[in-house]
Amino acid sequence: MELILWRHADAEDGADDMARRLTRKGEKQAAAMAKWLRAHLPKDYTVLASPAARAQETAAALSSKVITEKALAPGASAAAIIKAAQRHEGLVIIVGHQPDLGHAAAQLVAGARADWSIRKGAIWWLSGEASARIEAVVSPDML
Amino acid sequence: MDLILWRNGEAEEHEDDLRRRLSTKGRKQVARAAEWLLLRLPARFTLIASPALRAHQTAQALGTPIKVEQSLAPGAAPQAIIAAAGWPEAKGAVVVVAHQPDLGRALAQLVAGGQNPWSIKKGAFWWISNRVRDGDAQVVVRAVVSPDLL
Repeated sequence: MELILWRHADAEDGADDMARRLTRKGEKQAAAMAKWLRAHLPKDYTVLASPAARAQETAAALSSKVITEKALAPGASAAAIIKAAQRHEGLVIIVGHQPDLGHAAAQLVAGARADWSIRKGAIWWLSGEASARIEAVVSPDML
Repeated sequence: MDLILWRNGEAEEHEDDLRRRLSTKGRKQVARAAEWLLLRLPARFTLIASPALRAHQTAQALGTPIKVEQSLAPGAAPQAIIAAAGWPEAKGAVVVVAHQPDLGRALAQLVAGGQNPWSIKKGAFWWISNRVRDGDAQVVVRAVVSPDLL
């Protein structure tokens, strides 16, 4: 399995969590990360995103073919995130939330239940099944 | 503090492991990594390297005085690497240039509290930092970059 976990970029505050949109800063973060990804991704890949607006907007910076997965909404379990990825062949990009993505990374890399920090707009590129390798970690402020 | 663990670039064979030199490819790898790091490191940082020539040549790409630490030689224990880096109390940024699987063991311990060494490609580095949030000491992985991604 090759999997990129991508945390949504910086978002505005709002009473309706699902409707929170990216800030100007968040839009820039998403665009910068999308540019970096395009330079390094293979030709074919699948983008799955949480239904939350901030995840949809982050994913849209990379691709116009985004599959919305309700199971990736805020509060997703590590198992749900991994299962969503396993339903697709080839490289899968999952645009979701914290602490959910960090739980999935800890599960895949260390087989552990742990809170791993993933910064807003950052990607974690993993490969392999049990004890996955961390191929790359890039946050927007490092681009 | 910020801690950058950097694996030596690709090296040539030599009967004396400590005298293996970087290959042409290895020199290119470390030049790319160094360029990336120098754009993002603070103006002043501490640079520590294993006594092996390939680590010293890798560290040289940063153009800063190098402190050679015997305890970072190939086979270094995670505790030796963590102690040499001054983790977690040191101020500012510390770059440690050493070897595999030693750096991967230190990382597994620092980030996940685990024993199995993590993979690090030749010339690649991990940038981690520590912080306290809600009373918990946390380790944050800020970047993992290998030369083939630069």
